[in-house]
Amino acid sequence: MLALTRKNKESIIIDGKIEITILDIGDGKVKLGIDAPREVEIHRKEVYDQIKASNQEATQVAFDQISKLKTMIKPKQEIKRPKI
Amino acid sequence: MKFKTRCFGELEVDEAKIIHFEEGLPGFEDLHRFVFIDSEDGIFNYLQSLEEQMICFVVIDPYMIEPSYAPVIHESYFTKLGGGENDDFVLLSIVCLKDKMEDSTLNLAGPLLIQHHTKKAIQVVCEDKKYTTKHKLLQDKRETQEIPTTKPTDEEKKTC
Repeated sequence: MLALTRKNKESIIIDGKIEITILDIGDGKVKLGIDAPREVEIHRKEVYDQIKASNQEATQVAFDQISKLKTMIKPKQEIKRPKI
Repeated sequence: MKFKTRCFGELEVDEAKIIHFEEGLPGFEDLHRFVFIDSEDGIFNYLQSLEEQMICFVVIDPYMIEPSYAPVIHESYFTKLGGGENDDFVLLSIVCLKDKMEDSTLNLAGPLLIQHHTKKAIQVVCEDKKYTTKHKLLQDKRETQEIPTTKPTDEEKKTC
C-alpha cells in the first residue's frame, strides 16, 4: 500500500481523473472531498462489506422453512413486475 | 441447456433467460450466470447460480414489504446494464431466511437491479443510511403472533 502524508486542504490525484481532498481533520475523523467522473462508484467500505456478509449469510438459508414462512407474509401492496 | 441445482434438481434453462451479473455479486465475484425462478406463489422467488449448483438466493419484491422503498441508485449502475427506460428495470431484494420468521431479513441496502430486456444485472451498493442489509421481513410484532403452526404438506416440501 502506498502511504502519503497530507495536510488539511491538500489533495491527491489518482489516474489524472480522481481528486481526493482533505477537507477537515479533527475529533478522530477526517473529512474527504472526492471529485471523480460520474461513472466512478464510491462507497464506504463497511457498506460493501455488509452486503458481502449478507449475501454469504443468505446462501445458508433454511430452505426447508420456505413453504412455512411464505404463508406468514402478507404483501403490503400488490406487485406488478415485468417477467424476468 | 441443463443445469444441476440444489433445490430444483436438473433444470432446463433457455439461454435467452439467463441473467448476467458481469461483476458477480459481492462475496460471489466469480458467479456471473443466474436464472430467475418464479415460484408463482407470489412471495419468494429464486435466483439460482448456473455455475455453482449450491448457490441459490431467495429473492423478494422489496415493495411488497416496504411500499415506500426508494433507494438512490447511482446512474452508473443503469449505464452498466445498457441503460433503458424506468420500466426496463426490476429491483429485487435478497432474503435471508432463518428458522424463525421474526429473525428473517431482507437486504434493502444491496438491491439487485435487473434490466429485463438485456438480462444484465448488478447488485447496487446503496449508500443511503436509511436502508440496512438486515431489514426485518416482519416489522410489526402483531404479525409475528400470527405464525401458523401447520407443517408444510408433502407437496410443498418437494418444491425445495
